[in-house]
Amino acid sequence: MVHVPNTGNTPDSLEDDYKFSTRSSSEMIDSMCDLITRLVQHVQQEQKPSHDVHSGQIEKFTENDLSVLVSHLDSFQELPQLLDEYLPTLVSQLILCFSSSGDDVNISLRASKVFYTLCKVRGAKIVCRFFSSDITQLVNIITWLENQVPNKSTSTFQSTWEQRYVVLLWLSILILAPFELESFGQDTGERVYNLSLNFLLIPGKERDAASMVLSKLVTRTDVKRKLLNRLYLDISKILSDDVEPRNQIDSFSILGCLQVLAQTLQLVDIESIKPYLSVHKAFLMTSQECDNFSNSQITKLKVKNLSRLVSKYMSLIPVGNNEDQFLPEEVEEILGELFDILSHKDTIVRYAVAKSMARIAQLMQGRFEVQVLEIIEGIFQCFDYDVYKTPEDVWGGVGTCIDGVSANLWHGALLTLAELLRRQLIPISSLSRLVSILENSLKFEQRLLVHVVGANIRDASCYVCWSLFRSYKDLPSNNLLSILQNMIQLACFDREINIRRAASASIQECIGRQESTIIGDLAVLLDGGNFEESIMSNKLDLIQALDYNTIGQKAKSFTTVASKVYDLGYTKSLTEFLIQRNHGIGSWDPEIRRLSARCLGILSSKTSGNFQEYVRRLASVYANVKNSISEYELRHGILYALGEIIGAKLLTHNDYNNSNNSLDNNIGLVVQTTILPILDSVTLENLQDTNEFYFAESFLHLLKSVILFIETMIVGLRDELRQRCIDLFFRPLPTSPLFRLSKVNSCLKISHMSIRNEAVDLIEGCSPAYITRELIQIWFDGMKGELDTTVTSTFAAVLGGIGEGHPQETYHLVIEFLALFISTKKNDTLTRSEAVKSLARLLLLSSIENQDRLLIIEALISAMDDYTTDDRGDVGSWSRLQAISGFIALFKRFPSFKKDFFLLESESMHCILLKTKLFRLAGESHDKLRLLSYQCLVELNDATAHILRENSPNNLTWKISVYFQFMAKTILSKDKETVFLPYIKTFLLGLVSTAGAIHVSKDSSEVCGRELMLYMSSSVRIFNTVIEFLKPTAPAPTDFRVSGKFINKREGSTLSQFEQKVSLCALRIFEKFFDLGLTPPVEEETVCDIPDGAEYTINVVQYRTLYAKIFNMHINTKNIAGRVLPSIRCFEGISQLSCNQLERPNQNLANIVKIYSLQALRRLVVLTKHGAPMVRERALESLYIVLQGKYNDILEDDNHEEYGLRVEESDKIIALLEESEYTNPPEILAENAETYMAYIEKMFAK
Amino acid sequence: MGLLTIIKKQRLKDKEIRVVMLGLDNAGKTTIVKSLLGQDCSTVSPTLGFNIQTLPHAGFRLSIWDIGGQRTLRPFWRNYFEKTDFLIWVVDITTDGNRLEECRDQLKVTLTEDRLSGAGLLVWINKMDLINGDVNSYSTVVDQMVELLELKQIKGHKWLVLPCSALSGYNLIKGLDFVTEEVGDRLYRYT
Ligand SMILES: Nc1nc2c(ncn2[C@@H]2O[C@H](COP(=O)(O)OP(=O)(O)O)[C@@H](O)[C@H]2O)c(=O)[nH]1
Ligand SMILES: [Mg+2]
Repeated sequence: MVHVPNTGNTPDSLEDDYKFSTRSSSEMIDSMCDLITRLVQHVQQEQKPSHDVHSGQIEKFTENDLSVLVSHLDSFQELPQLLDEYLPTLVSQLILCFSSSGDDVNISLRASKVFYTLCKVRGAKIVCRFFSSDITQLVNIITWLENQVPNKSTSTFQSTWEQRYVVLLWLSILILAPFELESFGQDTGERVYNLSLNFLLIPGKERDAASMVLSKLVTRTDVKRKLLNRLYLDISKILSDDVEPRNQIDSFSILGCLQVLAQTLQLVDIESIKPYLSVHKAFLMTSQECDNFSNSQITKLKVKNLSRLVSKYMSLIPVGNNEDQFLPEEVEEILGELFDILSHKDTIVRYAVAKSMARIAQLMQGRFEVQVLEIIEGIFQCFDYDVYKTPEDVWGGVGTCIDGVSANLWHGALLTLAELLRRQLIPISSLSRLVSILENSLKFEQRLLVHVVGANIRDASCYVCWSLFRSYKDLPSNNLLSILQNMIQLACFDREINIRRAASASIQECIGRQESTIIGDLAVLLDGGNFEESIMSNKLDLIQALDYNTIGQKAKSFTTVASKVYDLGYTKSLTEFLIQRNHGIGSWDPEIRRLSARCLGILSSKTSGNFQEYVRRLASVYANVKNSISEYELRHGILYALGEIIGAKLLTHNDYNNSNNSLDNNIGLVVQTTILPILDSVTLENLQDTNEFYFAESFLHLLKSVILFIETMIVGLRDELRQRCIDLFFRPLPTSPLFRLSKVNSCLKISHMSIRNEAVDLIEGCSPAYITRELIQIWFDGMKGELDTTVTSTFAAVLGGIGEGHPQETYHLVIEFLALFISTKKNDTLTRSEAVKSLARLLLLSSIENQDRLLIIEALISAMDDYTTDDRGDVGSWSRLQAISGFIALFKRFPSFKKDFFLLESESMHCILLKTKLFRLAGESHDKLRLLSYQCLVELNDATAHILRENSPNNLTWKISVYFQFMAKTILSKDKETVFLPYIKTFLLGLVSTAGAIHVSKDSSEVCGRELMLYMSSSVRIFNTVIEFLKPTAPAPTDFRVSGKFINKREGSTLSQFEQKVSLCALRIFEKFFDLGLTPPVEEETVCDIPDGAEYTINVVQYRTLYAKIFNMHINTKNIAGRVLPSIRCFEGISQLSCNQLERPNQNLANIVKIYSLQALRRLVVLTKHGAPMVRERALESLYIVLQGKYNDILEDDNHEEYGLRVEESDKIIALLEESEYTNPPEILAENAETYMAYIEKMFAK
Repeated sequence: MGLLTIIKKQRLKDKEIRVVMLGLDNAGKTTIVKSLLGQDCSTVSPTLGFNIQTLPHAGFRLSIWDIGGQRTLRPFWRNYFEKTDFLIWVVDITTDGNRLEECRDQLKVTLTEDRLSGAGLLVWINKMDLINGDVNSYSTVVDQMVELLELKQIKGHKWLVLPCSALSGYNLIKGLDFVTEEVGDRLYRYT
């Protein structure tokens, strides 16, 4: 038996995140241009005088066009530069539309929305450049904006914010006009100042544009003397406005102020601003308490201001003698403030600080080298806070503990380092310091109470490395190697896809740029092997192995990628990473622990030394942690890894398939001396701790491998030798196998899926000797015992793990027990479905006798009738599914001689029975069941299978419509009746259940219904079959005695519940049938032609049964909606029937139809007196419809001798019906009913 | 804001262009880069690995990835931090026809690469100094190359073929001009 280690493959990303393709972008641009042209044309149309109609109709630019255009623009977010080519035209056309004064106000509104989106995607500053600088507009714009200023009393605007935003942006361009502002009117400057200050203090987007206007205005040479002063005065007033606590609006005012201040600093010349610098700084240093939302925005702007202030201060330092220059005090102060903000909780702020620090350092470079080094030192020191040394740990080393450090501070500091490195501001001499920081930060992970942080720190660390490799040449190789080693670990083993990729990208940079340095030294990293000449290609291979896409999948990274990297010689770095605390098999993430264990397994089989070494190391760590409560993760990882390592050994052993030579003796020794003691040291208490289900999982995982290992060792040995071998391995304990398996039993009581999977694999690998009757009895008890259904179903599942070679009694015992269990409907459904699965597994064993095999087959067939439902829905489907899957597995496993072997030769009782079920399931609404049933029918490989296969549409991902069309055509068409005849009824049963179901997706019931109607209206047989499904009362159990043991257990069978449901479905089908105006089919068959006319028979539907069944459906029931109302529709349909669709009139048929249509009509009349108002209402309605129809016939039949009288009476009746209300008092209803009845008897009953 | 956004913005500010340089071994890729960096070209040792060099040109920073021939190139088209903006293909004028055809097929496959969509292409026909003949005859060389590489069938990429010489420096700057113009036009028009 081959042991396949668990594949922990959960692909985290197969998708390449590369979305943007130029082709689609050019299509989008085309479509955008079209839309904008439409917009322009629309505007021009609007502007034309109304009498000018020559230009023809043009398409209007609608709200829908707007949203299309906006979404096109939005999709350029990734690569907005692609819009650049079109910007000039886009902007000018939009402005044209925007400022046009057509009748349609919506146009300007829509244009401004498009415009705003354009600014959002491409950046307002760039978009602004293409505004017309037609200064004649200036005054208009100012006036317009002044009218839009929010009034204190009425806070409603007349325009949308997008419109105001666009106009303000426009103003920010016009305000640069190279003319004296005065020339546009005396107080132009003042007016612009006032209006934009108003917009500066509001929460809306207009604020951004207003601050652009203001900063440009106050820095104009002609007005700056006056307005700059005013700006600082106003801002000082706004900021000192002590309203406690500050509310929302206030924080927006602060935002506005800081925005305009920052922009002003950027635009203004040093001389003009000099007097205001200290005021400006004072604004920033007083802390502004605000709500959370604006806090980050405000702080970010503050950082921006601080950074610009520094450059102003620096420019004040006179150029000259270097020696006696002092760094301005203010700069020192600002740097201190920036350090404080560095650990801000928000990334955008931290990044802003990082950039500012680096920019300041750059400004100081050359003149203030010492201070630059101080900044760097300060950043380095950030990594020393709250770090403490840990006492000697299980690995024997002394470590540093960074559990207490501030992750935000580290992140901010790392970003700063990256920014400094990018500018080459960190001297090479500090490299070793940097490297030791990276050693910690590249592995950074902090476990907080409920979540784990640190991914961003590892990410930023990769960025640091990347910047380092790009900006520096010829880095010393010893430092590089250490970083490279960490990078390789991350690229293979980080749990985050982005970090694996970031690490891989940094490795590329390192190898591509630092080549000359590390050529000679890479071998140091690569222990063992001669890499002298292949060194270059080796490095390329590394890049190849760490390919962007491949490492996108976590499971692949841990297996194939790591294995390749190992083969390239990077052995130590991988092993070291996997065996440690907090990472690899000691990770907090169980999935990572399992994957790491798998990787260790793969690596262990690379050399025989690895196996020994890994086992030794793992065992020694285990000895240290086995009693420590807090090390449960590591314990899980170690046991799991040992299991993987032994499993991998078996795998290679099986690969070589050297049957004579059993496994290396050494390995046997290792297992005996090292692993068995570990297994035995696990106590029952350890395993019973339900909080430690991981431990139990890893215990099972290891035990499974050990058992398989022993089994493999003794393959081919004679019996007594075998026994001796087993004894030898289990010697330390007298009853070892049993004893260990009793531990397994404790594990089984833990409620978890992965326990179940491990356990089933384990039991499967056990030799029969271990599986005693006592053990099996315990499992039986387990299935019945516990309340937790995960546990009981686990016990059911392990019974399916029993393999070949047991005595017949054992199989018989198990099979009988399971079969009985699943046929007892009060047992839990989940456990039952697991039992079905186990039976299906046992069916595949060749050691089972035919008699037992038959038992399983019957049990599986009866499981197909499990229609148990509860509040989770159709839970019986679990068992149905397992049963079908079981048969499919069987037929696949024994394709050729399955038939007699399994007593399923075609036309055998069992085969027909199986097919009966399968055809029903093949019509059901459950997608998976349906397709599996189809597959099973095909796998049967008999006459029906051939037809199904030959005619099947070739696209196997079947849409529901394709499927039903195909199946109905194949099974229900008349020409194939011979083969499918026995199954039509059961297939229809499934089909009706889908078509008539209420809780099924509309799609499937419609598709299915369509097919059904088609065949019902053309085939008498099919119509009659559906009539049979109407079962007014619960059917008596049908006796389907085959072998007599389990299959006839129909008492309480849920199939009858299903049939009850189908009965209602069938009624709805008939209701629908009549609703659609369809008529029951009549088949005429010519028997022979003789000269004076043809002999023929006709085949008609069973009207009598139809009427009787529907009659019975609607009486004695409380189910008005489900039974009575649809029945009324059916009566309505029946009473409208006639038989004039026949070529040759047939008196017999005519009589039958007449009898029942009259019966139905009478029934309608009776129902108008029914106790339930809904019923009366529906009955009156139906009666009216029918009589109205018949009234028309009467009108047409003007040859009738009593024509006049008949019309007159009918008029009366129709009038009476029109007046009748279901709310009428009972006497009236009764009286009216008598009138109708009398009328009917008189007119139609003759 | 994630790291990637930061880096993307930064690259835009720094006006970075990522160029991948390909071609058969011995075509002269490394020599071209060295020559452009003003380094000594007489001692070029064969590159088996790959090399990244940064080259300032016309206000841009070109990161040139010089990759040894005949390998799976997939890992180089993009990585976590950046993607390829431009492709330079170096052909040795003295290469025989068979190898050139091989070369063409490789180029075609490369250009269908999704990650390269929109990227510009420069084909440098190197070692022109080995050819006897005046500059006027170069245009036939170019035409032949366009024909041979079936460049006219290429869609969605702007391309240029230039004869050049790494040793003499002929047309090297002109080639870089094309790179920065093409990328500048496409990605850096208003930055
Ligand atoms: N005559 C001549 N030789 C060149 C030229 N460029 C490169 N070579 C030579 O071609 C050989 C291969 O160059 P190399 O740059 O290593 O090619 P690569 O494999 O594409 O990087 C070297 O011996 C160069 O000296 C050139 O323009 N003219
Ligand atoms: Mg080279």
